[in-house]
Amino acid sequence: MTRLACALLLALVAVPLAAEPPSAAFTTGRPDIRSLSALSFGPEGVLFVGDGKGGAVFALDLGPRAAREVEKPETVTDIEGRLAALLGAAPADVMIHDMAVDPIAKDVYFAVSRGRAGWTGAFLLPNDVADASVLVRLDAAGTPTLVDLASMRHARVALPNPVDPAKTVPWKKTSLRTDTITDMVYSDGVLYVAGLSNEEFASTMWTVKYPFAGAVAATTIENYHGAHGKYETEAPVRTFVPYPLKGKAHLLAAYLCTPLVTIPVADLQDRKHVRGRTVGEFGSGNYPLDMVLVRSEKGDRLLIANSNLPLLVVDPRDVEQYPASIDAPVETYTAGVRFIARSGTGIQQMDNLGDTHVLLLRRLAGGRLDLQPASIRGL
Amino acid sequence: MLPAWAVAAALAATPALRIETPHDGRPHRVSVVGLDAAVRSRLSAFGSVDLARALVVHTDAARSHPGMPAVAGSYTVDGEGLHFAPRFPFVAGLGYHARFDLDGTRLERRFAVAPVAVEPPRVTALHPSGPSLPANALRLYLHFSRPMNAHGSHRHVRLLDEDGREVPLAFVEVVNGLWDPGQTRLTVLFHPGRVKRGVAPGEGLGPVLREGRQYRLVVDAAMADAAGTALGTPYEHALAVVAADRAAPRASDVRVSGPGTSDAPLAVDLPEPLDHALLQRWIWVEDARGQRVEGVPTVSEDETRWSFAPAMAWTSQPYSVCLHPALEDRAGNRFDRLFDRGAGERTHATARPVCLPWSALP
Repeated sequence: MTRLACALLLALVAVPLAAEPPSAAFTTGRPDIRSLSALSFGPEGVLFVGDGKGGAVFALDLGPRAAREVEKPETVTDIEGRLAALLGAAPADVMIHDMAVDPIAKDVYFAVSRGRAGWTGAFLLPNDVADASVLVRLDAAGTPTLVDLASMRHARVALPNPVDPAKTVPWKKTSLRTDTITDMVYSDGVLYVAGLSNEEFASTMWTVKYPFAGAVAATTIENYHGAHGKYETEAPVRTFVPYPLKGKAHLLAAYLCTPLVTIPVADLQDRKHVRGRTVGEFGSGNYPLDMVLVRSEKGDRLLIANSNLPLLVVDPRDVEQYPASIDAPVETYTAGVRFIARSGTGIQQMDNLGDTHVLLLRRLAGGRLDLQPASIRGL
Repeated sequence: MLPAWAVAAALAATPALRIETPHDGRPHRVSVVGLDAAVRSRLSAFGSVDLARALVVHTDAARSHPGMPAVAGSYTVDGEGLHFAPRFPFVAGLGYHARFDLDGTRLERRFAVAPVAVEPPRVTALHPSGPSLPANALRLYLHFSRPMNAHGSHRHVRLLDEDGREVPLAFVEVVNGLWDPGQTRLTVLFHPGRVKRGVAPGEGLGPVLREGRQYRLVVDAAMADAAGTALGTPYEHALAVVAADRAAPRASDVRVSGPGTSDAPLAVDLPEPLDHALLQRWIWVEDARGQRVEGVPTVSEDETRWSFAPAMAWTSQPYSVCLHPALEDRAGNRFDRLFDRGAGERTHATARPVCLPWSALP
C-alpha cells in the first residue's frame, strides 16, 4: 500500500529498481476473478487484485494514463449514494470491500458488491457478507464508472494451498475462505500476500516476485496475543506495511483485537514457520482495517484505521527501540509501544494520497459515507 | 379506415421506450424501438460513450442530486433498435427514469419494478414436538423453511403465559441467536439459571415453566429471512407443562425392533422423548466389525422413535444400535447423569457409548 515504504526498502538494499518490462505472463481478455477481495497498487501503476474465492492474485494493467498531482484535495460526499446510482440500487445495498488510490492518476478504485442479505452480525467484514464483483473507478470530479474488465491486460498467479472453503470461523460462523487474502503490499520486486492457508498453522504470508516469476513461497506465522493470553496461529494478519527496523527489512502487521507484530522479511522462507514479535497491544474487540505509512515533517508515522477504535498513530522508531516481546497476558488490553489516538472514527478504508495526504473512506456520525482527504502535517 | 398493414407501419414508425424487467432471471433491458432505419444505422456507428449519451437511465434518487452517475450497463444496436442492459438487474421497489435524446427525438419514461410476490418463510417444525413439556425443559428448536436473518432473532421469540403476558427472562438472550450454519434452525435455551435449582436467577425469579400451567411459544410476524421477507403471520405453539423430569433415561428401556426383512428400516423406541438435534448424530448402527452402517435416520413419534433405513440391505450378521452417553432428554438428563443433581450426588459420566445388539434377520 505504501510507496514510502517501498522507497525506504529500496534505499536500504540499494538495488536500483529497473523499469522492468511487463512479464510475458500477461494476456488480454477477461480475468477470471471470482471475488475482488483486496486491492493494492504495484509498480508502474499495476493494480493487484486479490481473489480470495479463486485463491489467486491478478495484476491488472490499467493502461496509460496522465499523472495528476494532488495539491488541495477535496472531500467527495456520499460515496454510497454515488455507487448506488451507478449500480441502479439503493445506497444501503452497496458495499465497499477495499479501496486503493492510483499513485499515477490519483483516481480511487473500489471493489464493490451489491446486496447485503448475507449480513448477520456486527463482526462480519464485507468479504464475509458477499463477494465483490465489480471494480469501480472514482475520478477527480467524484464521478464513479465501472472498470470494464472484458479486454483487460492481466497476469495471474495462483496461491498454493489456500484455505478450504468448508472450514469455518467458530465465533463468526463464516467460511475461512473469506480470509484467504486479507491484505497485499508490493515492495522491492516482491508482492506480499497475507491470509489463510490449509497448513496446520493457517495464518500465512505468501511472497512472489513481481513481474510474476518463480514459485510462490508460503510462510506460516504466529504471534502472541496479550489480550487473549495465547499464541495465535489461525488468525490472519489483517493489514500490514513493510518497514526497515535496525537496518533489516520487516513487515509491521496488525491483527484482530489488536496486537502489532514485527516479522523479519528474511525469515519469510517457503514452508517455514515464523513467530512474530508482538510489540504492541492496542485494545480489544477491534479489527485493524487498514494501515499506511506516511512521512510528516516530524518523521515516519504508521497510521492504523480501526473498526472500533479511533485512528491510531505509531512512531516506527518506537517499534524499533521497543526492547521486549509481549508474551504474557495483558489485563488492561493495551501494552507495548506508545500510540496516539487521533480524531478519526468510522474509517473503513485508508490509503496514501500522494506524499501529503491520506484518503479516508469514513462513516460520519450522521450516517453518510464520505471520502475525506486528511493532511499528514503535524502527525 | 386504414388497412392493417398501414396501422402496423405507422405504429412501427413511432419511436418508443420499452422496459423489460422479467422476474425469471432473464436480463432486464431498456430499449428504444420504432426508430427508422436511418437512425438505427447512425446508432450502429456510435461508440459506447455516444450511446450512453443518447439513452440514459438514472435512479430517481440520482436524478434529484446533480452530478450523480447514470446506471451502468452495456448497449447494443440491432434491427429492432437500441438496447441498454444494466450491469445488475433493476431493484424492485426503486424508481428509475429512462431518457432517449437524439436528433430531435426525445423520449422519457419513469418506471419501477413491481415487487416479486415472495412466499414468506415459515416455521416448519418445533422440537420437542409433543403437546406437553416437563417443567425443567432445557431447550427448544425452531426449524424454518429458509435461511433466516440471525441478527436480533432473540427479539422475535417469546413465551406467553395463560393470560397472554410475556414470561420475562424466559430464554437466554443471544444477540445473533444460536443458529445452525445454514441458519434454518434456531436453538432457544430456557434460562438455565431458572432450570437448575439452588442458583440465583431461579431463586429470585422462580422457574420459567410451572407444572400444570399452559403457555404459548410465539415467533412474531416480523421475524424475517436472510433476504428480509418477514413471516407475516405469527407462529404459535401451545405447551402444557407437566411435572419436572428428574430421571435419567436408561439404555435398558430402549426397545430395538429388528426390521424382519433385508430392506426394511430398523425401529428404535426410546423410553421418553429425547433431544431432537442430538438424536441426529448421537445414535447410530454398527455392523459386526464395529463399522458404522450408512443410511438415513428419521426421528418421529414426538422424538420417541428413531428409525434407520440402511443404504445397503441388511445381512444376517449381528448388528448393534449405539447410544452416545451424552444423548439427552428434554430436561438435559443424559444416559449417564442428571442435568440438575444435588451437590453431593455422585455421577458416572463416561465417554463410552452403550451398544445394544440385535439381528436384522431371524
